[in-house]
Amino acid sequence: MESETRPLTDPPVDGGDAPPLSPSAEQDAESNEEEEEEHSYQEDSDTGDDDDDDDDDDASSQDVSHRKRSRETSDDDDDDDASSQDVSHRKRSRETSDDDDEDEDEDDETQASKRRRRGAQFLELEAEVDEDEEDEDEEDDGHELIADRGDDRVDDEDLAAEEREALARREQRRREQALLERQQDVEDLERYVHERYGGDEVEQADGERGRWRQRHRRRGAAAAADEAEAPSEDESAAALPTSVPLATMQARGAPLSEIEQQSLLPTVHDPKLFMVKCKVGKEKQLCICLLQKAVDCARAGSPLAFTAVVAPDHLRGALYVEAQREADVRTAIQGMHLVYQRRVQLVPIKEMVDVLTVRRQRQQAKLVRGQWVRLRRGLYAGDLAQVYEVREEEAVVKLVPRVDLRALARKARYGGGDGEQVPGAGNARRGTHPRRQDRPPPRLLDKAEVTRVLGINVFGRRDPRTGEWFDEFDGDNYKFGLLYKTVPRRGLVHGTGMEAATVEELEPFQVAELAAKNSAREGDHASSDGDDDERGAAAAGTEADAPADVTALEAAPASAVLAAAAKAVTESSVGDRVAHFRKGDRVRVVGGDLRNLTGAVESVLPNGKVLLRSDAVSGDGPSSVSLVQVLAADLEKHFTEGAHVRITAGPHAGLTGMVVALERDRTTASVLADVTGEVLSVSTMLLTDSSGETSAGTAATLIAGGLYRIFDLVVLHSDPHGAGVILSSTGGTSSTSATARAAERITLLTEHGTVRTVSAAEIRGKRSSSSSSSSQQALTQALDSRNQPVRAGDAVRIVGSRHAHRERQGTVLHVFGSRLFVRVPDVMEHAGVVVCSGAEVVCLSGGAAADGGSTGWSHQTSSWSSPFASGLGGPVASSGLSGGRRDALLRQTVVVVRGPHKGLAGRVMDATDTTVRLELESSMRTITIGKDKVRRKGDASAMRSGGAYGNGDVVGGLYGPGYAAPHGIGGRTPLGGYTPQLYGRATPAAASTYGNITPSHWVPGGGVGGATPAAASTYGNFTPSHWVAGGGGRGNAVPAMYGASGAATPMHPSGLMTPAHDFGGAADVWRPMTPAVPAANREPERFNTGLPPAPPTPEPTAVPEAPAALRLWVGCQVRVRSTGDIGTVNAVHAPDQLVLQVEGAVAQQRTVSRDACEPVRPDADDALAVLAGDFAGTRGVCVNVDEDGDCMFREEGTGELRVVGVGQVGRVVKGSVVERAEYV
Amino acid sequence: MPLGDADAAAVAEVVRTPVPADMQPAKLRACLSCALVKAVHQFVADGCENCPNLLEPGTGDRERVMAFTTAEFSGLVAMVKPQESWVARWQRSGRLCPGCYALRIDAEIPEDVMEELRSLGTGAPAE
Repeated sequence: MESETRPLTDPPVDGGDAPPLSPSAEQDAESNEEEEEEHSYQEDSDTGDDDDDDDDDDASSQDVSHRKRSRETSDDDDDDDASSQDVSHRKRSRETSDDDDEDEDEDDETQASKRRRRGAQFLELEAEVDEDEEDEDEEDDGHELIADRGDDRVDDEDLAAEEREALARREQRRREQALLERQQDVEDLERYVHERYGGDEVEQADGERGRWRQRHRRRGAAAAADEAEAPSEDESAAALPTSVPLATMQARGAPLSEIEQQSLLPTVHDPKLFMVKCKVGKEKQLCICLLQKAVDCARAGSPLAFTAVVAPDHLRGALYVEAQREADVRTAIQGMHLVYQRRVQLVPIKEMVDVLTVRRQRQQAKLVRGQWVRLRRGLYAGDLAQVYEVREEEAVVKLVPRVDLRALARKARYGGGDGEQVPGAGNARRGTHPRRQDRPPPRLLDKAEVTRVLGINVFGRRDPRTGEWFDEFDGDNYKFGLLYKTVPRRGLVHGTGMEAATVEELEPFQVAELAAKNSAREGDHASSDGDDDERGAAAAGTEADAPADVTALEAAPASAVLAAAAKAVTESSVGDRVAHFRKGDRVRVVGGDLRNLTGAVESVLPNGKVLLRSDAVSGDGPSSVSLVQVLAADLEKHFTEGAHVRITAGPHAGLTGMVVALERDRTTASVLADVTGEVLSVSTMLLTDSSGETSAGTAATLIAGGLYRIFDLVVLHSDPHGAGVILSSTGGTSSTSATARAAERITLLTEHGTVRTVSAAEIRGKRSSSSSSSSQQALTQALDSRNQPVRAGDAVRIVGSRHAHRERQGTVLHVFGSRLFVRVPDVMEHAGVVVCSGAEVVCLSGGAAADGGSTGWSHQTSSWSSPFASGLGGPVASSGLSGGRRDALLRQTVVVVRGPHKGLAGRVMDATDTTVRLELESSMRTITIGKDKVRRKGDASAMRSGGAYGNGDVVGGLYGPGYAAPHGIGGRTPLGGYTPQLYGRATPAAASTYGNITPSHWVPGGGVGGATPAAASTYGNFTPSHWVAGGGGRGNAVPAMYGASGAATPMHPSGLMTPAHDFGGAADVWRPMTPAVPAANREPERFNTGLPPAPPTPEPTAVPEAPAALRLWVGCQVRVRSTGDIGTVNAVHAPDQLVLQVEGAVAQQRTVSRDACEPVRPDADDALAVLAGDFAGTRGVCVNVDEDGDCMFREEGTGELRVVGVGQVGRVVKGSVVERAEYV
Repeated sequence: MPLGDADAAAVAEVVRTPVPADMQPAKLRACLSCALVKAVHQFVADGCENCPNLLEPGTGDRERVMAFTTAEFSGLVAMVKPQESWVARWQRSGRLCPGCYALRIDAEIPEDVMEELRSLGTGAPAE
């Protein structure tokens, strides 16, 4: 034997991809026992030398022959005995057997004589070979040999014979045993064997004889004898080969007997194997080339000396050339392309078998329909799949698709072309192997989502081969959300090599199966699945049943009951179980002596045990018994109702919640999630106690390792102009590791109300909604249906008539443009977050947003644009309150207390954080002055004057000079003090009402005489019911008010519009202020921001609609762009709809979009109204329009000439209508 | 170096070796009986050298060839001198003709094919 010979018990056949010849690595891997064996083995070989070889050779060949004979099941007792004897040797020497004590004695014996030992070693050697074989074939499992042999016999013989033989074997073994004990010398044994079987050699089966001949020929000495045998050999050669080539044995269901095969192990006399490196993937090709080369060279008269070339599939990038000498190999590969010439390495004898041993499980395990498998490579590498159909070389499996619809949608190529598999997943599929964490998460395909995201429909398609219906998407077949994928059978991992399925993986399959069943039950023939539903369901049924005859491990998850599956899975592997325990977990012992003991996990030990700190307080003192080691398999998590837990894995990983219920078997708990309020059913193995966490609640809300929190408003890279609120995250748990984060999927609710799932990396950042910078304010504050600013934190009620959650109340989480994210406690979906536009809500409180200091133009515009908001709304619910949210000084009369203007009083027209724009009463000038230099005039007086004003107005409908009171009103203070209800019930005349209204509300409207008229018809359309707080009377009252100018009385009950309405008459009082309304010029901006509340609802909110119609007044004449028709705005119907009284037609009313018409430019002597700019609200008579686009007009009332851009004016109807012409 | 008789015979045998005529793995098929690997058309034309009664040369029966050969095999062994080769011995193809053999047949053999293989006496282990 050669010195480099290595112990035969070296194993790992499936070490696979690394070619043999990595001595160092394997050396490391060897265990101590193996070293021992090696030692003895080498000792053997050292001492043995030539004669020993002979013995060995003989013995092994005898073995073969005997075995062969026994396989042939001769009835000859001797043969029978022989084989069984043989077996018994082997068996005895294997320590695994259930045999007699003597066996062990022998094995354990270390003090025996050397010769004795040699005998034992001989057997041991064979035993090792046995094990080696087994390792190759079965990876582990020491009993396989026996089982295999049994199988053989079952195959070949009937049972009776088997029994008889077993008996005989047992008898033989006993005899053998006695013999062995008797004999002092291994030579005796060998002699015994010779005596007994030696003579039979010649009569061995033909198949074996060939081999015999080869051996003898090699030895030369036996050549002559061999020649003598040759004729008989030729005879048999004429027949077909009787021995089945190893290659086909397995396929033929004639599994190889390891005993038989191991007799063929290479010896030093055999040619050697040399490993030659070659280009990966070209092995087979090169193998053929070498064969061709051998043929060609032989033909040319200079035969190559190598005997064989092996190109094993499982060892890549290497060729194994069998030759006697290395030089032969070098000659053979000389000049060959793609063969790396430099390295030719000898394969150690003991590794030679590895080269030829193909991992067996690949062939061994048959694919069965319904079986669970995993994919080997590609996008779905490692993913669980279920075999749906088995074809010759490929299988159709169903699995949970990893399709990123968003990614698909981004592909420009994706135009709904169904021909080629272009995009996203396709690329990932065919491109370089995607890293696991880069893959989209597995999710069932949702047809509706496909339609929504990609804008294409998923249609049914009949499979051309089977005629079965599938949903076709992106070139792939789907059914019930599962992808039906055809994969080469080699691309599947199954059987023992497969990692057990987890509950999480099975869940989607369960869902799909349920869907299939439901679909079948409902007989939903309208769907594309049509008549195949039954089939599908039937298939599902069989699939659920089929695995029962697969291995037990696979069978369990296939069962329809997920809980059972979960249980089976969790119980299937102790290792898995251990992984689920963490320190601090509450556990209960469910097996073993300590059953029902509860405690907390102290530590998880590496040996599959868990160190448990018991709850039980024993009399012996806690220390002695409190710590116990328990097998993890005997433990289950123990929770009680009310425990606060975190879900550690699965689709809901990372969520925390409270255990609200436990299944009877305590394996499943219902968890009320903290954030979403859902009740989730979760295996207790996936739960961990979270009450100990610093702050369970906050921890639960942390997303992406703490970067974000739940309900944060974030902006995506892909959509920088949009935003979304984080609803939940899955997959990432709370881990901060990068990989976990990459796997984390975050669910967002966008400002459009759609839900999308993104990865943390796709999020650009948080959008703060509490920014106080004025540039941000437009985004952090919207206007509600009453044009009151709404900010985050406000309580609102959803009033939008078309809103799904109408009449619900909630809190504004974020404001984004005009969109509000409102959290409504009653709503379960999307964690209660509801998206609505500002116009769909009514702000109920000033809430947190009542910041006195800030006043942006948005405040102004809102106030400007809602002249009625206060007038009308004051009494109604919230306007008074919301008024309190303006800048405290705005519209107030203040006194300058410092600086050159000291002592002067004026009205605050505008305010910033630090400065105010003051319109001085005395000089009619407007100055800008620091806030610190002004002081408010007394509140009390404001109140009073407000009251006076209100009184006068309501009662008399006269504003008169009294209206100047607004200067003094400024009475913002009282606002908060009055509840809407109070106002609503207050008599219209109530002074307080007016006191309530900040003058600012009046100014813009008031300048023109109040905005109400426009609302007249508007209100007419509205049902009174919308006046939630204002009382039903108002709706009726309002139209009346417009019926006759000045006849405001009917109005009065609802009251507060009147002043505005009548104000026109007293306009001169206001006149000076009107131009100063700063908001007027900003108004267009407001439109640009998209803020206009534009409530689809009626309501007093008609007033807020004013801004929507700002440029088009009621009574204003407009030209419809498309038709050129000129009409008079009669009413504002919906946010954008104008009711036009079209000229020329009798009573022809038309509703047009505001965008579709434009104001009519006035000509000289036309009545006009200024629609925008500083003079907005002013009416007058046009003097002329010059070619520069300036329009000069004489202001009504004052008679002053003013010039504005012609774009800012619109023609209004003369006459009485004109008189009432006002903007809405 | 003068060739001995035995060697000359071996050379002659080698020269008759059926070398797969196609390099593409997809076109190669292995005999279900002896694992000999050749291109399909070679099987059709020449049958199987080892199993003439299974795949008779010259019949051109392509269907039969497809039935009794398979593309599902793994590994490839080029046997140049099967009698001397340990690989051939281990593979139990020592007595087969030189040529390319599959290391392992992975196919599941249909029952009818199996029957015929058995009846031809080429592979039934019990015989």
